[in-house]
Amino acid sequence: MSLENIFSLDPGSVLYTIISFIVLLVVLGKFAWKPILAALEAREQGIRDDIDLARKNRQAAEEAKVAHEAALGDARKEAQGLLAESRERARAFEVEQADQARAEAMKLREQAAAEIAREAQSARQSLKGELVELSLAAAEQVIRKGLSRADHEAIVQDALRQAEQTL
Amino acid sequence: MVRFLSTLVITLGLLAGPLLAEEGAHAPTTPASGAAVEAAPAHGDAPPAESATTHGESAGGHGGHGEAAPGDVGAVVKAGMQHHLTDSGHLELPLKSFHLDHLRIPLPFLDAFRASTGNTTPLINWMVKEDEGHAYLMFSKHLVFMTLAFVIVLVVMLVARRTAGSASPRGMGNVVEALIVFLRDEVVLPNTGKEGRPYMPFFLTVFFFILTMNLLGLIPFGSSATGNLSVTAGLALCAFGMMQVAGMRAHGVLGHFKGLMPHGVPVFVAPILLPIEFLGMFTKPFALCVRLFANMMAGHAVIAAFIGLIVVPVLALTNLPVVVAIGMLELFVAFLQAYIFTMLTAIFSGSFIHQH
Repeated sequence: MSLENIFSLDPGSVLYTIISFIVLLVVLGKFAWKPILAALEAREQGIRDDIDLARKNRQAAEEAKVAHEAALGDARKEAQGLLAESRERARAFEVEQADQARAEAMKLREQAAAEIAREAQSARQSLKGELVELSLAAAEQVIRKGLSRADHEAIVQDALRQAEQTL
Repeated sequence: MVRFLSTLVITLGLLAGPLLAEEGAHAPTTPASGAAVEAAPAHGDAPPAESATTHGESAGGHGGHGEAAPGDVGAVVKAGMQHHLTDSGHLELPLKSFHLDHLRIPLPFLDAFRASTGNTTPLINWMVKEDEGHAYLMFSKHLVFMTLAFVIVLVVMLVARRTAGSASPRGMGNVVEALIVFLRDEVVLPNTGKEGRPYMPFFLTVFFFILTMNLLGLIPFGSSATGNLSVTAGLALCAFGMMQVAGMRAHGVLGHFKGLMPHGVPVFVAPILLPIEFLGMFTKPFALCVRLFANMMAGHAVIAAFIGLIVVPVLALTNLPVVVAIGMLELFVAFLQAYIFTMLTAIFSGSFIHQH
């Protein structure tokens, strides 16, 4: 073919091109393009699914975290409430115990005071009897001796000493 | 890089060797124009019936040139260009590259088929059109390289299929996968919409077939079948079929042709608009055909012209970088044209799918 003929159409070549192309299209379409495109599609779908799943998981995790934190806050608040309550109760108990102890002590002191008073009373009572007896004995002595002023004096002094001794 | 450069040097050596050797051999013999005329037909690989015509043309057409420049540069350049640009009935193999005749394998003609089988149906008679003593329908050099591209695409894709789209694509699968994803997401689907998804195999086949044919023209002794108008016409017819099928499947046969008349246009415009739109159906693939052919042909023509100019001693050195640069441009154009063909087919198909 000469340079001047390059613009001429050769029906045979056209036909051969078309047939080649169609055969190539059919064969590659069946054995190469379909599998490759399907594999690409599947891989892209897989990646998309993975991303979706990851996003969903992250969202779930965030929600869980929020719920967790809320629960933690509740628990903390509850614990604080409990602590305050028990502290309050302990203080009340303490006050109560102190009051009780004070009352007990007061009672004991009163009892002791009463006891002392009673003892003193009884001592005074017995002293009074003693005194009577002593004065009687002194009177007896006085009467027995006809007593001078000095004797009186000595006797009383004696009696008093005696009384003092017995006391 | 080193490998690329050595390939380049070998390529240029193979291409330029015969021309330089021939010029060197004939330089002492003073009638230089005679040498050039001798070189031209020996190099131009016209089939025997045609070689006389070529011979005559180069001698006659460039006679003026021959007198002006010693060695009839024009004739030699023309012969070289013809060799690189045109289809041929012979297949050259680089087996005797230091002579002008490489090993040339004659390719079968279909009129031989007609003669041997006695098939004289009108279709065969029409196809085997006699012209200047030889039949058109031959298994020419371009068809050989198209078949080679066919085999390469087939093998590469069947190899690529094993890893492309897998979890960890490797090697060829990775390359093919990247191109497929680019074509799908950047070229086809944006232009056709999601309705274009079933037609992806068509676009992928078009792209890789054209790309391989383009690239085959860049290797020494190769030839790009896409630099042949008949081949691009065949491809454009396939693209035309694709557009029609896409339109008909989207709107039905009637709806597809009704789409030629845009909505909201006054009825009286129809007689003008309909023929224009109808013609548009055919001009689109025609433009595809001519664009691909012209681009591939032009690139090779420029390379062949510059390589041919090596016969002028002063230009020999300055030509090398130019040829290298244009060779790189051609590499880019090989991808670009495959991309454009695919892209435009997708756009046109999209316009038939989404009528206005």
